[in-house]
Amino acid sequence: MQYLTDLVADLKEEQVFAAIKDELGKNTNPLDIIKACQDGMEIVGKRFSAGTYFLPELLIAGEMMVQAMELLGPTLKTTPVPTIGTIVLGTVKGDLHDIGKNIFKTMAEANGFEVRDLGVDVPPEKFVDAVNNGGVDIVGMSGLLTTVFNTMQLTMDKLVEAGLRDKVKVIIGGAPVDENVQKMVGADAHTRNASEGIEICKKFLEK
Amino acid sequence: MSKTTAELYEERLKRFKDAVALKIPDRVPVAPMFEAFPLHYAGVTIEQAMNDYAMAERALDAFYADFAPDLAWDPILLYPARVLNALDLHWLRWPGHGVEPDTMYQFIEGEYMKSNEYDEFVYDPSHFMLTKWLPRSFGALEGLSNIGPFRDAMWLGWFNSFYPFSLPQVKDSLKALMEAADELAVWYAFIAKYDQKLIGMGFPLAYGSLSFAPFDIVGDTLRGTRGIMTDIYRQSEKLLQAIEKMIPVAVEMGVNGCRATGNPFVVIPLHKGVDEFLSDEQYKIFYWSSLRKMLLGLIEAGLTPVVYGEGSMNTRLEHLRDVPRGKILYHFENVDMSRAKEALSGIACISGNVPNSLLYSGTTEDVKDCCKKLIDTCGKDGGFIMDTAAAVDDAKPENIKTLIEFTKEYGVYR
Repeated sequence: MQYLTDLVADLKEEQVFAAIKDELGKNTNPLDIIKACQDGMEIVGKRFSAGTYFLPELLIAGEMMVQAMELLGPTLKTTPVPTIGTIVLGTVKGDLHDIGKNIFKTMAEANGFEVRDLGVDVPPEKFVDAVNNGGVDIVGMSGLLTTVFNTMQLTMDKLVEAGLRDKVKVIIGGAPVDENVQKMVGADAHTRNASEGIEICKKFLEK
Repeated sequence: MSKTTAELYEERLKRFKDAVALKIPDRVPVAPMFEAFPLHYAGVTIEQAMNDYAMAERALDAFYADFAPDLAWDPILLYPARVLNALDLHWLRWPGHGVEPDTMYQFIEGEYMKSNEYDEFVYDPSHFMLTKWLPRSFGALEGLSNIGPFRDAMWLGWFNSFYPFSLPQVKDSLKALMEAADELAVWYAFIAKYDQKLIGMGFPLAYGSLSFAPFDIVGDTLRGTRGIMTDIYRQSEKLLQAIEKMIPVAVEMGVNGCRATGNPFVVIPLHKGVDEFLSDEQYKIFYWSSLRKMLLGLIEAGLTPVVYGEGSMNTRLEHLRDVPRGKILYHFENVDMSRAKEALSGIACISGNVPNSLLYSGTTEDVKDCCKKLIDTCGKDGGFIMDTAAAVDDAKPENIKTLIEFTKEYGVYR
């Protein structure tokens, strides 16, 4: 289904939806359709990293993916989608920005991650609870404000207190994070770029 | 013999203006944008300062008694909570209203103009703002959605224009508006008085007005990031019309504000044109072309645009060169400053880049190293102002002190 992958990669919204409907009509395995879309999204991510795609393209791709999953929704109830790892994701307490977080989420899902999205303004305890629920590989803390470094640190402290720090990898993301913040928070990685963040998360799983 | 405050005022203002004009001042000016930092320093919460102007005043007094940058920020960035509360502003969360007492207020993105409303907006922006944007932005002003246009009030058209003012929901909204405006006037008076106080202490004000890039006006307050970015794909012509329409509005915002304050610096925070958001082509067409026209309009009006770049702008430097020499200050949050200096040398003064994360978590030695490097790289032959990467909220006081004092010492031109 290379043609569907190409349509997704080239952001041909209408043609993608028509193709999915067409494939469903032909009783194609929905997992194959998803795989084709995910491959397309992977190309979108690569084009973003390479500097040929930017935010408009990422957002269009994300919206397209959401609609594609809606089209596939009914058939997926019977065939669960396999995932490569689980990320608990949230914008930390004190911060209500979610554009970056949502882009990361879309791209992570398109890359085969299960994302448990805790939303915005997430208190440290909620991150801890989410990790305690089990099966979590990675914690992603997002923030746009320079005032939330402190909450990222607090969240990390809570993970340590709960004895969960060694069980997960922690990545922080957002425009103001850098190596200073990563060091201060004690995270395993930082990124300002969703696509790079996904690559880091994939590397986390290899270890 | 120590200088009088009037002398200090003139000296600081000249230093800053010289740097912008690409003349070599006596030393590198230092002028960060201070937001909540003075409050933290004085032990006043943001909630207190937004509700009790006297507490904001005390905090700023304490701050300016101990710190002496070249330009000062009055409490304009600490919005009056009572006004926001009374109007039930939807697109902001502030202390006591959605965020913690000592957390900075935050902008909430939304679609305050829908994707199919471009034509209506471009046809008559004022009417759109009055009857769509205001009611959607302020809970207390929902009644204004019933007001009809005034553009057809000629002859007896005013029968129709006036009629809605008989409606109870319109009256309620107008009453709420007038009450909030009374409080706003109290706050404005406080700000104006504080500006005089700053002048009395020898500090020129860092801004005369605030304005915004035309693309950001449409993206921040009307369509939202998701909206405007997808419009680039789905309805680029209409988007461009709206942006074009906002160019004179953006100039007007700057000019009117500066006329009121008598200060020529138009601070223009840039939001949605950062490296990761738009391709070079998209930036040129949708962002820079209109921003440039706005800058030229402001310069023509005799004002000094202080372009406050938020986020990373490494790929935009070539475009930024295309402006009149020595008329603009470009502030950068996150760019390679040696490249910025190279690109803009002889064209525009640059500032910024001292990471807020470093001011929050680093040592005074780290701050010194950072400032030294910046002065060595960018300070040569003038055209540089020391500034933090972003507005300062949380930072170690000793680091802010070091930033200012080290610049004064090491930044002297000999």
